[in-house]
Amino acid sequence: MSKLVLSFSLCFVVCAFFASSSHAQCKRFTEKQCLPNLSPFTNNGQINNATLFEGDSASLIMTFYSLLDYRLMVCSHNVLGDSVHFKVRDNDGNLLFNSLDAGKNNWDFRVNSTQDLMVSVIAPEDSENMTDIPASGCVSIIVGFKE
Amino acid sequence: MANFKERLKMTNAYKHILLGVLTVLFAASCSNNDHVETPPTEKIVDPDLDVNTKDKARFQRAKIVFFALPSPIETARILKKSGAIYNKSFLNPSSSVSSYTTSVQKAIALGIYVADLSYANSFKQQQDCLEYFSAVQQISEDLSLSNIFTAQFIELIEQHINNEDSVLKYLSDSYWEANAQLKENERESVAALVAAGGWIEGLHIASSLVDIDNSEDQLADRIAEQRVSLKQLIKYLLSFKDPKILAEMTQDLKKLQKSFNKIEVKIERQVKTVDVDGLEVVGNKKVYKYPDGVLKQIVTEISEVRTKYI
Repeated sequence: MSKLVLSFSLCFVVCAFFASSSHAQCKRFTEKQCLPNLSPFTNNGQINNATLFEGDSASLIMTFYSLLDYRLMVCSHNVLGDSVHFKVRDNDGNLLFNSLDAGKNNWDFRVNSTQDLMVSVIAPEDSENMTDIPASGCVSIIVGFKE
Repeated sequence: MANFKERLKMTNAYKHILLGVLTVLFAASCSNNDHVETPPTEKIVDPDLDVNTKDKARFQRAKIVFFALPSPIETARILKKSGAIYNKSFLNPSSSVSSYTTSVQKAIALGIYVADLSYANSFKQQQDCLEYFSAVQQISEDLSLSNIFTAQFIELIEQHINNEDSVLKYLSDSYWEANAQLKENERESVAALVAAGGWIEGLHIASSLVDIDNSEDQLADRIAEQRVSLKQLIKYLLSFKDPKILAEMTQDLKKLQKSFNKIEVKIERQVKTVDVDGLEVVGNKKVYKYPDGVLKQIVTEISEVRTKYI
C-alpha cells in the first residue's frame, strides 16, 4: 500500500511540475519572441497565452477603447508551423480581420466606439503529421496600445 | 477475533477511499495543464471553430476562452485624452498600503494603486509616481510576486522618472510580469481581483472629475462606455470554477451593472474606413444618453463600492 501511495504522490508531483513548467515555458516564449515585436505600441500588461495542440483553438473576448490605437498580435511556437492564424469579429459576428488574407500576424486598428471584439486563434491540424501525437506549442495573443 | 476482522475491514475501506482520492487528485493534476482555475462557464458561439478536426471531442475539450479587460494603464490614458485634470486628492493614499490584511484586499489594492500610478504618470507627476511605485512594490511583495518591483527596479524608475514613455514601458512590462507570475502559479483569481481593483479605481477617478450636471461632458461618455467593460469584467469573474473569493466583488459589480443598464444606447452602423495614417477604423458607433438622475446614481454607487475596498 505504501508503495502505491508513493507512486501516486510522485505522479501527482510530476504532473504539477509539468503544468507549472508549461506555463513558465509559454511565458518565456511570449517574453522573448512576441513582446519585442509589439513596438511602437505599449504592451497593455495582459497575458493571454496557452499551449495549443494542432486542431485546437483559443478565443479572446476583449474590450477595446475608442480613443486609443491598438496592435493585436498572435504569435505561435515554430512547432505548430506557419498555419496558425486568427480572425477578429465584432459583436454582430462581422469579420473585421483575417490574418490569412492579410498575410501577417498582427493588426493595427482603432474602434469607432468602445466595444468588445472576439479574436479567434486556430492551430489547424498538420496533414503531414502521421504520428498519433499531435504537435503542441505555445500561442500568445498580445495587445499593445498607443495614443 | 471479530474485533480484529472488523478492524481489517475498516483498514481495507480506508485503503479504497485513499486510493480513490489519490486517483481523483492524479486525474485532476494531469487532465488540463493550461487552465486549472479559469475554464469558461458559458458556451460561446464562435463561427471560426468549424475547422476540420479528426477528433471533435478533443477539439471541444481544448477550446480555451480568455476574457480580457483594458488595463488600468489604458484607462488612465483615455481619461487624459477626454479632458481630465490631475487631482491627487481623489487617489488612494499610498500610506494606506499597510492597512490591507487579507490577500483579497491586497489584490484589489494592487489594482487600485496601479491605476493611481498610471494616472499620475499620464500627468507627469513624478513625485507621486515614485510614491505609488513604492506602494505597488510593497503590496506586490505581500502577494508573493517576486523579482518584479525590486529595489533595483525602483532605482531604474528614479533614473528615468523624467521620461514619461520610459516609465510607462516599465509599468506595463512589470504589470505584465505580475499577471504572468499569477498565471504561472495558478492564482488567476488573484489576477482577476487586481483587474477589478484597477477597473474600479479608473472609474472612480473619472466619476470624481465628471460634471454630473453636464451630460455632454466627455468624461460622462467615458463612464457610459464602461458599461461594455463592466459586462466583460463580470463574465470574467464568473468564469472561475471556484469563485468563493470573487463572490463579494461579483455581487457589487452586478449591482452597479443594474444602474449602468439604465443608460440608453443608440447604435449607428459603420463600415470599415482607413484614416489618414493608414490605420483601419472599425466597429459600430455607440451614442449614450443618461436618463435623468442616472449619472448621479452611478457616481454615488461607484463611490460606495470603492470606499468598501480601499
